[in-house]
Amino acid sequence: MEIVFSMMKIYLLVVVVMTMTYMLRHYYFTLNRLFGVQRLYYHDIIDSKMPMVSVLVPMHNEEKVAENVLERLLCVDYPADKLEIIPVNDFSQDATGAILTEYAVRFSWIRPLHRYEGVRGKPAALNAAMEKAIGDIVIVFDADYLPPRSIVKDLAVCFHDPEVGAAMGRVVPVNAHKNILTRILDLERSGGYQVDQQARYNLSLIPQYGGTVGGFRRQVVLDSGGFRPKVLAEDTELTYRLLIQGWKVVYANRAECYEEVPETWMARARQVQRWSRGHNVVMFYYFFSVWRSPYLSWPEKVDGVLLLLVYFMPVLQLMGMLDSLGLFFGGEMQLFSGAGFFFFGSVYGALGTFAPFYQVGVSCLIDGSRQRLFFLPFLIFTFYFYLWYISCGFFQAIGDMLTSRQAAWEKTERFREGKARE
Amino acid sequence: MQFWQGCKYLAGKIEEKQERSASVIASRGLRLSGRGGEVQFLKEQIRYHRAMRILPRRGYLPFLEFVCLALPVCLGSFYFYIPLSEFLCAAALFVLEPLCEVGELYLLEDLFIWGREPLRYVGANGEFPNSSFLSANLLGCFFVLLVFYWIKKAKPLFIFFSFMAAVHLTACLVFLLLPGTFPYDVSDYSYLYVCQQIGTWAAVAVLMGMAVVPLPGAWYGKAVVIVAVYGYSLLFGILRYILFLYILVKLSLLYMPILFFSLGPLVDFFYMVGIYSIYITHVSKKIAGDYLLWK
Repeated sequence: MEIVFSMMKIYLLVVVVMTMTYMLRHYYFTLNRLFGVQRLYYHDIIDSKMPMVSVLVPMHNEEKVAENVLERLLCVDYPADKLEIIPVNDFSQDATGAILTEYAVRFSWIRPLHRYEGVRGKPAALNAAMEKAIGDIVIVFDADYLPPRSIVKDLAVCFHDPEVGAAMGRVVPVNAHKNILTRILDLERSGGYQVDQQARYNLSLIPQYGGTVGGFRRQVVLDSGGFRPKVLAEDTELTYRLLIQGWKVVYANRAECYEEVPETWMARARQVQRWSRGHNVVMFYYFFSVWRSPYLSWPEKVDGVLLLLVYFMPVLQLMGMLDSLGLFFGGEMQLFSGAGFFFFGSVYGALGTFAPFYQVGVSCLIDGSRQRLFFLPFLIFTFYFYLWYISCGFFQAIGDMLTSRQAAWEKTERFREGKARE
Repeated sequence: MQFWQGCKYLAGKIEEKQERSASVIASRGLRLSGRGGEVQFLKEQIRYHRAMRILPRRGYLPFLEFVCLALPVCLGSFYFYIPLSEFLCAAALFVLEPLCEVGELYLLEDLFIWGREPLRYVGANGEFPNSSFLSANLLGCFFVLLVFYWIKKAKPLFIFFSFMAAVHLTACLVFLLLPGTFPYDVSDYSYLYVCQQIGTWAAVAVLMGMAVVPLPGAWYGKAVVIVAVYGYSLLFGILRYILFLYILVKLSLLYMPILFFSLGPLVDFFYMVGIYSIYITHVSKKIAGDYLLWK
């Protein structure tokens, strides 16, 4: 029994060390974003020879938002002869198909793709659309996004750099004012993009291609087999695939695009569980490949692994809680176990599972926000919530790996009513 | 005609803004002539975009502020752990002694830092639960878990309470199936609480120090924040100690696991982040119009 308790204590120590590592990593990112030299994106390049761009918008039952995104895309300031818009009607049962057809009749450069055969889901939809697309560069938006006028140019310009394989813009919630959840998600997004992504870009680490408000080279992705339909986090998978092949992923903090974040906890739970499931499958695929890649520097490898483990941390913590409970009832409630629970339970949890409080605070300071900072303490509410749903996603990912089953793509619920806010 | 009127209006506005900028620059003792002055002047006209703007580095000042403001509070918590623990015990005994029988509560001491005087804490034996009390608690836990499962709401508070119900259910089962094996009494819990509380006091000072020293603002504002957090933590730690001891002594030892796992450090960090949010909102408001601050 002594050995078991020793093992449990060692495990707790591992969790504490891992938690502290992430905490220091985020602190370093925060300082870098606040005071460091900001790595420039390619905004200042003005070129008349822009690449041919295909904008893909996967849609599954998106009648609430389809018109909004198409209207916005019609207003972008990219040369019309270099742009095609391919909304993908992916097995929609509502009026999405009719909306797309109507727009295709009115605007020749909108070329919808209607899919009712094969595998449903975003990766499969993107694969089908890439076959149809003619652009050298593919830019993807989710259907709930509201792209501003300059976004396509902002994202496409970086592909003049032959090393760049994918680019990512900043996501800003448009419905942050709705309720406490949307306000919390607004804070999370702010910390995640304004500080986290930009700092990783500054430090030449691994900015992540996020699957929407981002672009990539079509031929590179097609040559490497397209997106894997079984992987729910096709964005993370593409990031790692490109990186280990020697391509660079860049981040455009100024290329802001507006999205609708989930307005109910259930919708958020499903979303985060899906992300966790997909992300952890990618972790299983790429954990060792990252170490072996000759194209990545050591800081990139370390950051790449830490990024892969992001959705594994809550699982470690949940296990740590059970471990702590075992030690408690086993009569080992000493300072060690108490301190262990104290550290990983609070430092990472109360400070936010995805972004610690100082990171979110600094991001809002840079953004020039004021009132929304009062919601910072409410990040605590997400601790147990994420702990549970991310852990569920992790165990589903293990099931996916063991059984090679096809994960069903669960679409995030939309809440928009009428026209989007200007 | 209207066009020219519009142009004149715009020109007037620009001139007005330039004059206002010039007066701001002059009030700060900056030169308008020369390259530096021009740059400052232009900064007034063209604000840095939020995507790229940063704050000027303050050299070793943040580090100095951390060493002078946060570190002494942290180290002080460990250095003065004896008076701190004595104060905690005195407050607990002052409140609880009138509510308890004579001799039910007593002072104990145990090792905290090797080679130094022992730590003080309040000792008591506590009440073991009887079977009817256990059954009621067990049913309560089942009820909470079933209701939350049935409701199927992914609300964070539901999940938090489900976690707590699961912990309490485990405690009930241990007391029911393995009576007599529960390895602690109130004194053990009290000792752990005091140790953990001293650690919490030290940690909140360090964490708050790390969070506020990089921000712009005077050192005394940051000192106030650190002291406020520490003071609140001190007060809250004492109140929680009294409440926990009362529950364990007067109600049952059965509640020890749930108290240990639910109302612990997470709550401390909730108010810590709350105070930080007030401070950073103040900083954000203060620097909102200060365009010369950003780089």
